[in-house]
Amino acid sequence: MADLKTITETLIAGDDEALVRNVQEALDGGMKAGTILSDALIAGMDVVGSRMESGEMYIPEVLMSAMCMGAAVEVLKPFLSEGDTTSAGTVVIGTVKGDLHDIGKNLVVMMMQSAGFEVIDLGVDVEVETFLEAIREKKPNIVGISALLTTTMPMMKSTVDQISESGLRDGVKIMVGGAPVDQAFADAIGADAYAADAGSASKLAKAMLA
Amino acid sequence: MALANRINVVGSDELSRIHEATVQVLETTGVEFKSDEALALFRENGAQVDGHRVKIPRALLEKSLGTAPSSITLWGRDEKKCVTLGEGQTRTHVEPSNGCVFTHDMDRGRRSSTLADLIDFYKLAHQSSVCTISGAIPVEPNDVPIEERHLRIFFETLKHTDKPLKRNVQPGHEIEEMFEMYELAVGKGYLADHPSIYASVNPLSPLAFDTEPIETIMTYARHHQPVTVLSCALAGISAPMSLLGAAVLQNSEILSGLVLSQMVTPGAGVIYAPATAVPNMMNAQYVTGSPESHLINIVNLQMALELYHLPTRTMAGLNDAKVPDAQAGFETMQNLMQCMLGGSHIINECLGVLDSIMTNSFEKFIMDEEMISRVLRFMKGVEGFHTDLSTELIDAIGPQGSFLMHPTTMKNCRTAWRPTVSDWENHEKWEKQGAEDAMTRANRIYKERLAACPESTLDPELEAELSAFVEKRLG
Ligand code: B1M
Repeated sequence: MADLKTITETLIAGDDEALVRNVQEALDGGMKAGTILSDALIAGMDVVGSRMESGEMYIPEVLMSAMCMGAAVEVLKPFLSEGDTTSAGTVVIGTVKGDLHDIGKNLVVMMMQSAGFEVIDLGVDVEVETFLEAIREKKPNIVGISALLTTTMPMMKSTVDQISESGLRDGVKIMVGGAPVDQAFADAIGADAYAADAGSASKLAKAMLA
Repeated sequence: MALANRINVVGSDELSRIHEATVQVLETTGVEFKSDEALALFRENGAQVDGHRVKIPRALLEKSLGTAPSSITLWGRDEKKCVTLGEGQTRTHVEPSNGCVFTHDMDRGRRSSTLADLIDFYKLAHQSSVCTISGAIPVEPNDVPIEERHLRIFFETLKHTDKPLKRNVQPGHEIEEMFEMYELAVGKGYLADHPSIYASVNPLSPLAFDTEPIETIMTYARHHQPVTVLSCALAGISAPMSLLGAAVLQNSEILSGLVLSQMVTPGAGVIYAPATAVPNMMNAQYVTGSPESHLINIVNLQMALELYHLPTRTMAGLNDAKVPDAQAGFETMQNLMQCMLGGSHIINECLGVLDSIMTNSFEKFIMDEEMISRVLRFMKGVEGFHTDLSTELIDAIGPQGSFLMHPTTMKNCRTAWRPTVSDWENHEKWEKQGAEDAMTRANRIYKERLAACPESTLDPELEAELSAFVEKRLG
């Protein structure tokens, strides 16, 4: 039977077939789903996170491990009890109206997913109204807004303003980012957080909800 | 080009394989165009259209390649400054940086750019002898209200240069407005037979075009103005990690933009602009200094130069340095040499640029001019007087003699290349003259240049007319 250590190792190696097989074997051998989740998978993703930060793991490898994590959780789901949470929280994210840059935003999405968040990605060129609807419907913990153009940064401000005006501000934390954005701008428009890259975005998201 | 060879990355048979792979991508995968007008045009021209997805048949591609010109004459308001782009061109043409959000200089460091900075970059570009095309938006004028920017920027462009112009993607009505404004300066109807302004248009890699870029391609083609289709994919993220795979993707994107332009106006100018980068795969950040990136782009240059006979353009002076330091120098020189020796007809993002195109520096502008001038000189190769093998002269001077005062030396000693910012003095003299490093000299030079630059290149009446046009449009 695959032990916790082997499961963690296959997760870090990004071998999805072996991981699913190992998780299945562990379940068949009587191991608790909740234990596999917390002690092998979540523990494994913590290792992945710190290896990413130190540069030992490259982004495609990190994302591969995250995808494996998703596949393993699917196997575990039917056996998890109520107390075993698989979601770190819900994030609604999009690139602001007028802006089509999404490479960075997509990375933030993937990193947040690998940190256990459920992410609703609204895509690019997102109307303020679409953000508002998504907040009403999905009741996210965090709203993420990305902009890569100085010409669309003001749209970030009006998005934040309209979230406030619609009475939705208190229920969410707002995070902003993108190459021309900085902490001072985030403060000026009343966002709760600014992240310079995808790794710090997911770390910050976790910290904000802790 | 007077050098015997360009830099080639692959052999000629590889080029036809890449072409066939491109045809396969265009015919079977297709490209997305987010514009009903463009989709209708593709349908009329025999492409298979499914939703936004267009599959471009070989015949349409070949027909379009057949009508796209191999050479474009681009006019300046001063017609003497007109340039030939593509076949028949005698030197690499140089365009200012574009899209930088920050300005950097020695005195004030890095800061959010303003209209005053933009004007200073236009002035430097106008006076620069290496810079043959002006316009673009070297730094974003962050202090100008966004709704006023397109007109205010174009006014300053016309005020500060009479060279041929480069512009960016805009909605159709703004482009029409800009052409109308340009014709106030050059005469109504001038643009129809004088290509004078080209726009740089980006596909949304992989394999898509958004509405405004499509509008730009179509509006420019209708007005007989060229466009340059610039793919800025990131290998491993928005393009295959394989260098040749990235070249195939980029070729497919640029050629599908070319097909669109040729369907609107057969013969409209299209400049082929490969600008794909190998990013920092450790964290997926966009970087520009990798020696691998132009292995992709030079393959694409080869396609355009050898197979398609199109004018070409590359982002050639990029680097990831945050200040004009040694890294800025060596990454810039690497990219300049690769792109210029690869045969690119126009180079851009090469006058002042730093920090993966986020920052433009006044001092680096001056240093870049010299770097470009070095490569331009090298590319002239050995010609004229220099081809004399000089055996008689060698015999006449003989062992231990001196060539210093021989007439051939006297006559030609002032023609040798000289630096504009590098120091060539000995250590003692350098110290006596203030022991300036290159950055300090560049700082002094850019200020002298700005102080000597005229406030306007327009006659006062025309300037007032253009200004009135802008104010009227802005209400
Ligand atoms: C919610 O919380 C968060 C938290 C963190 C967040 C976050 C959200 N979002 C991002 N982050 C952070 O985490 C990410 C991952 O670590 C990071 O994301 P980044 O996006 O920074 O990093 C990515 C992983 C990689 N980086 C990138 O993908 C951006 C690279 C550069 C070169 C760039 C690219 C690739 C593109 N472009 Co664009 N482009 C440039 C960029 C220059 C640069 N140095 O950034 C920039 C941003 N572009 C610019 C321009 C001008 C334009 N572009 C345009 C188009 C394009 C392409 C289509 C070619 C392509 C985008 C492809 C795509 N699908 O996204 C046009 C605009 C289109 C539009 N309406 O949006 C166009 C206007 C060009 C034109 N003339 O048409 C410039 C901005 C100028 C300005 N005034 O602001 C620019 C600085 C380049 C330049 N000098 O010209 C962090 O910022």
